[in-house]
Amino acid sequence: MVSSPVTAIQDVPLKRTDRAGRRIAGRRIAPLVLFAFGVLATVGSIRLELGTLQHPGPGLWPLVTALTIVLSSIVIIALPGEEPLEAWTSKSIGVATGVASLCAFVVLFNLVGFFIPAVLMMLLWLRVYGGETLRTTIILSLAGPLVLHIIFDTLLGVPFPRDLLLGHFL
Amino acid sequence: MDTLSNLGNGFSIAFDPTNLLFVFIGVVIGTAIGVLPGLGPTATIALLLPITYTMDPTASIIMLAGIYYGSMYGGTITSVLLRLPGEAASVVTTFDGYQMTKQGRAGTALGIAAIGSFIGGTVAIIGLTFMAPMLARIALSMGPSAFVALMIMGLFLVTSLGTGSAIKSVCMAAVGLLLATVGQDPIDGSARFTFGQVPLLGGLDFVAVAMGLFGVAELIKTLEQTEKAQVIKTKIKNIWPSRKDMKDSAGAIGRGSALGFFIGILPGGGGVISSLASYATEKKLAKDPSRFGKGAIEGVAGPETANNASSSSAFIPLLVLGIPSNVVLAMIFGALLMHGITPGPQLMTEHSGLFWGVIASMYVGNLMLLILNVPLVGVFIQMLRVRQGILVAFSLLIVLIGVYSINNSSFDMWVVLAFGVLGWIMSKTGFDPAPLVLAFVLGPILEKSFRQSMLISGGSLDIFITDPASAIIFAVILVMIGFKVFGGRLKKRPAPVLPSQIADSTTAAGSGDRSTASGESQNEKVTENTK
Amino acid sequence: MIKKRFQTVTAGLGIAGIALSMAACSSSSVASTEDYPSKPVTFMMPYAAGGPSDTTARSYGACLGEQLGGTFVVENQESGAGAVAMQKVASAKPDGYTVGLSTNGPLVLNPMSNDLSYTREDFRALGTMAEIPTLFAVSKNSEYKDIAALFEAAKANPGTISIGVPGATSSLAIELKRLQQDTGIEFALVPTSGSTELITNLLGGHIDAGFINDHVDVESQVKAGAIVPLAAAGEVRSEAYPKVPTTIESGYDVKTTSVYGLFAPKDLPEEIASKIEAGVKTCLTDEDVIKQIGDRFVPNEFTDGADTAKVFETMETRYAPILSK
Repeated sequence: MVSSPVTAIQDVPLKRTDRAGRRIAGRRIAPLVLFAFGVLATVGSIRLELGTLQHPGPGLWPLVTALTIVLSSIVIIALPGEEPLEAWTSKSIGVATGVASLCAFVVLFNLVGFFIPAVLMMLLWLRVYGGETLRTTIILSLAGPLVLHIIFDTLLGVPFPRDLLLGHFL
Repeated sequence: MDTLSNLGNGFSIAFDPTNLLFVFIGVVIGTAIGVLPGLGPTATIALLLPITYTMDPTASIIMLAGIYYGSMYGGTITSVLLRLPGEAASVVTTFDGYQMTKQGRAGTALGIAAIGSFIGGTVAIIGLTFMAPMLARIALSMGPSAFVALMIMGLFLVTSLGTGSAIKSVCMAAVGLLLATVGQDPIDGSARFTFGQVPLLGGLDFVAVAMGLFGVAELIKTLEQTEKAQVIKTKIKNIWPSRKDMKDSAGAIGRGSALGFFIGILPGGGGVISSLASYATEKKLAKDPSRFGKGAIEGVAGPETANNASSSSAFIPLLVLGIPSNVVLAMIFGALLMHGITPGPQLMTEHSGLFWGVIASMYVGNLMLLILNVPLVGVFIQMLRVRQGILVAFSLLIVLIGVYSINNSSFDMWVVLAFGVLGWIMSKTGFDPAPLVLAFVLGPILEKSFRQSMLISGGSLDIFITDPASAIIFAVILVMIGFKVFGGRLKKRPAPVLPSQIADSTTAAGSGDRSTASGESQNEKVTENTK
Repeated sequence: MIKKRFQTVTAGLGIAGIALSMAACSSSSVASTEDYPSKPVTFMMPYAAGGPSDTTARSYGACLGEQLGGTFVVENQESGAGAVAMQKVASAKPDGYTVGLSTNGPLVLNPMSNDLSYTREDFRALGTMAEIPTLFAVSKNSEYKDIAALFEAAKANPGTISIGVPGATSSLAIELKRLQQDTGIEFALVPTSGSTELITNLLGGHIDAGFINDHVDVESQVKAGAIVPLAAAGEVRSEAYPKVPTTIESGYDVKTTSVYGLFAPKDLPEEIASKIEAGVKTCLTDEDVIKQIGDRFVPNEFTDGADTAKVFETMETRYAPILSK
């Protein structure tokens, strides 16, 4: 299965250093999580009214889907497959910090409007993650959010939360 | 011919300079919004509705229709370039379209999509012109029981199309079905899995889920790549489909037009099912199905054609019966109401000028889209030359405010982020997001229709056999399953054989007219198939 | 454009307080009641764009803007089955700069059946903008030629006559459920995702009858002879079909009307409230409003805020026995 070919193609010379046992165990974590999710959903569905096949209640369809998750995850736990997977690296933590910065953006967006968090986010992503020069970073971080604000809020009338900074000008 | 003289009359309306201008404005806006992820035709038309109230009714509908079918092509651009599907039907395009981008063939993918869209759209409008009243009846014959059958067929296609293992596809489809049950129950209105969160009462938004699983996941993944991994910009090979690409896609475009036209008539879900069906057909007919999911051009040409054909034929129930078959058409319906025109069976006779003017404008609009998009392909793929860091930062920002604009709610921003993380973890653990997203679209229709059927029949399952439409679709599903079992055997048997024999066996399994489907010069690839 | 929208982000962030205080600081414009409206008014819409409610909101938005000398910006927010939009109106500052359209579903039925942070009483009604009556209809080939035939058939064969309703939580569905409970007449109630799906199923002959909003979409099918109206559900006959009797005339106590009311947060200053009410009253006779919404849906006589509120209060008492959380 190749969901992201860039990395898949890259990783063709797969790291064989991992011990086989550990790799197989690692492959079972995801289906185990799915299994737990399916079990929880099964309980949740039963708590809704089930009804019968002839007169289905709100819980019947969710129950069918939840049981499918449970059964299929059991099969996957038993046969985790051997296709190449992308390895977790120390860089994976970078993804977590990136996501955290996006969460901060959403929180700030609600508090002070679009412009300030957008500039901050662009500064971070362009300079730190993108490795752009300071000049490019500053120009793009200011111009980008301004243009987007004009397109979405001013032209298209999308009601952004009141902007602490631009609110006074636009 | 009455139809021809009416159509001629329609063209004289469509070629009115003002109307011509509005067709142009419509398709340009449509293409443009396709490039802004999250801002689909629904949001755009909602935003433009107030302006249309002051316009001439024909001009305003011509423009809104242009936005709609223009956005169908526009949505392709981000699906192919950035793996950001803005609507359900584009999810299928990402399978091979994004792979082609990775291989430096983005221009080819966009080019073939533009051509396919033009042909599919035009074929559908020709059908709309001459067969509309007859086909509108077919739409009506589809009751809840037939929709159950249709959605089961869709789910069958979803789980059998995935590039990964079948059981993982089934599992992910089930997760998608479960996630789609969040919100109010369609039949008795009680809240399900909302955990006291008010925004969840309306369910998770499709665009937020799809953008998260595909787009955001792909974008945040760049953070763990090494410098060397920034490969996209380095190789943009050819900008335009070669003669061979055209030849490879011809069959796919032809079949996609037919599938999209007929499936598109069905109210609700027509677009997704038609792209899925087209993809499945192409994969089935291909000489080497293993190429699919790895950048097969037919995998882009077929579904894109079908998608556009279905968006044109979706106008049939609206124009002939006054039944809007999706949200966008419902808004066009609303726009007509505002002008004091009620779309309904009388539209064709009472507002003949508007009816034929809009149809004629669709021929013109499709041609404009082709002329517009051919040079634009070159412009859009320049986007890939932008340094990855800049592209990623801007894409993320636009995705976030794009999903915000769907409901004007920051809740959807949380949804898109959560699904972005989920999508990233899924790609790390070898799960394909496509079955999840597609099942998420089909599931609610299946559940609602099943429960409606049970209410109508008083709990008897016989309704699925006694209703001719559902009986026919179920029969087709059985044939498909038989095909899968039978076809699978045929492919397994001649394991260590010569390429020519493989070709023979697939011909036997396929339907015969696949000679145009894929080029003849790909025998070197066939060996892969025998593994 | 100045817009006030503040949402508590998610529970547990613990910064909602800061958000609110910043809200107070940032929206610094001094809004005195005399020069209202001195900045754009947000007109919340709990439904998606394109439907009759949206048409109503937009027509009135434009007309009120003209009347009061300001702008009304319609903001569609269908999220949470309309609850999110209603919550926003309920929790907005009662200064007249946030108003909203609402109707039975989001205002009364939704808070009755779900745990929401608002109820009908958190709003100040400002008048009725439009009313959409309802009717029972069958397809042209139906064996039921009048409303009595349909209801008697349901009585004779309980649960076998299928009748479509536009949405599980629509007031039409709830009204039919109430009828079933009170009279013992039992239909097979088939909720659809809206009027469109209902009409399609009626035309295709997949359901026996429909209980549907008496809007132009049905009217055009009736004109074409594809759908036959059996009875107007209520006390007055439909303006579109004066020959068709009402349910009350026929001896069945079924009545419901979709009332599109204008609402603001409950503590709205009386001065601003009466300004807006006067505006709504004038708009009832506005040419554009009548043309866009449709003459027969715009009330001929003005129903003021207090009376509009009463309509919804009656609804609440009528449905309280059926809806429980």
